[in-house]
Amino acid sequence: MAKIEDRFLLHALEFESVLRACLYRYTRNTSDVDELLQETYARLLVAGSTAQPNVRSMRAFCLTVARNVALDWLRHRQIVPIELVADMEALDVLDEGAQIEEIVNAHQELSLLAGAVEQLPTRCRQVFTLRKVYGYSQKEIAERLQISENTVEQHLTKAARRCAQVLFESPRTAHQDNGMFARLRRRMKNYDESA
Amino acid sequence: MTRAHDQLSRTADTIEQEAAEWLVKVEQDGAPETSRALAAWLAAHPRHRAAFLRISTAWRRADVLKRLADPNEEPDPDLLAPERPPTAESITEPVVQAALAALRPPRSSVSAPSQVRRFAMAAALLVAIVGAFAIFSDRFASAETYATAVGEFRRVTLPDGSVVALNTDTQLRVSFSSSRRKVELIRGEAKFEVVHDEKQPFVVAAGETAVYDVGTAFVVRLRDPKSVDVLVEEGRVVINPPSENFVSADEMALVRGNTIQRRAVDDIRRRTAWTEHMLIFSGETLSEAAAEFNRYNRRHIVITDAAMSRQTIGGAFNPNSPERFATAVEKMFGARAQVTAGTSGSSEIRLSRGTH
Repeated sequence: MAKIEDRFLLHALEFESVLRACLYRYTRNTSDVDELLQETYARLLVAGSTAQPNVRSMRAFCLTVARNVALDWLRHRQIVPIELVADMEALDVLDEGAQIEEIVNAHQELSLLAGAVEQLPTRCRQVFTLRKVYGYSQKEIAERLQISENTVEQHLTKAARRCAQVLFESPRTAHQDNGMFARLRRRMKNYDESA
Repeated sequence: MTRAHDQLSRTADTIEQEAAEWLVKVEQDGAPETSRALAAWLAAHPRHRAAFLRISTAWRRADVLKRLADPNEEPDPDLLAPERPPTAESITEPVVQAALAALRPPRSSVSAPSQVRRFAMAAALLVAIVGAFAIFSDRFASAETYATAVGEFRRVTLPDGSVVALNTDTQLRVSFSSSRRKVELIRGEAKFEVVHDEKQPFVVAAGETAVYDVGTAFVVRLRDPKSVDVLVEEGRVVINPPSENFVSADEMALVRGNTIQRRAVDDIRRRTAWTEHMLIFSGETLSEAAAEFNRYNRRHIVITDAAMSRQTIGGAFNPNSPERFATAVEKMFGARAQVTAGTSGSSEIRLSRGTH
């Protein structure tokens, strides 16, 4: 199922929150982050389909692509980014350190998802539960709940987006943000010492 | 790439929605036409494929929820309903039971009477603490002065547990009595995280302005006795009571003489980044950024070229290192930085249009 050219994107999904934090440093607002993240993923797919020299660290590579997307965007808006461009290497090293906490085990994933399901609107939650917990087909769900198949589709669409959000985007947002400050501070300290 | 981004700006949400719709569609409809149509959609732009891959990966992972199904029980669409008391009928296996217990947010199983009891206990404790504080508060009645030099930061915890962060070149005097907690901002800028206590209001006096806390975190900057900026991060403050000049979270009030101008701010973290020893710019002009740096350093930055001073920048900086900032400007703008003897005795960094 998984194709070789998808490898960068599939890897990047595992630390989407880090990519988001990285992009946020340039945009300072979340809707632009959504745009730039999708563009980053698109570029990762393109990168995956062309022959690549050995990528030493997948993670560093993904972050570099994200930063290039952000820099293009800033350039386009004619805001000249300075400093952030200057010493990304140091940041990569620090980002590597954060890797361990991002490995979410299956049990955590289960609680994340179940928590998200609870928050869904009632009908949407029921449709999703029948589909994913009990493996009903869309047709069977429509019959059981006395709703149209079209409505079932709409509910599942909504639920699918929520799944992606909870699995990739939100889990560690809160402390991620604080970590961002800590990392930036450390980075600046390193730089000052080396300067 | 940039061109592609132009074309598709503000569409991440639309693409994700379409990707989710395709996912749900092909899941139940394996007709060759559908597959072909999907293939065409995917081929239209890498962002389509990226969004589809992301959402279908999430969808597949959601199959982990199958573990919650109990083969001995009738499928229950409300299995994951919030606030649903677990019953012996719906949950039989202890494993599932444990899983569900871990998954649910803690139910408010505390009965009403015990909540009241708990509240009463807390209230009694609070009265005791407040009482004790009133008795011993004479100790704190003496004024204490805190100050920072240019480029210095300081965090002080006050006797009541409130925390004050002093920005560069700031001086304040703290005087607590049993009836009020008063902080006089003599110079500069400070952020207050106040432990709320109605019996002993927290007041920040800055020039001709008094800011009363109504349980909150806020920043006060004294520019001169008649102009004070108040930025509220949490809760609410009131300016010069008994006026009704309330300022709430994510709002800023600019007090200029007798007028107060209020406005919403959406970048509080950036504006209070100095509490993290950082300056964050996002589209400010070079001259604005230089002025900000000059608050933190004796070695001032002077931009000699008018056109250059209007250039906008973004980035995070160490406020104590105007040299690093100057170097970055040199690199990015092809500017030239020169350290010269300044007017005020300290040296200054002159940024001019480069000749190289």
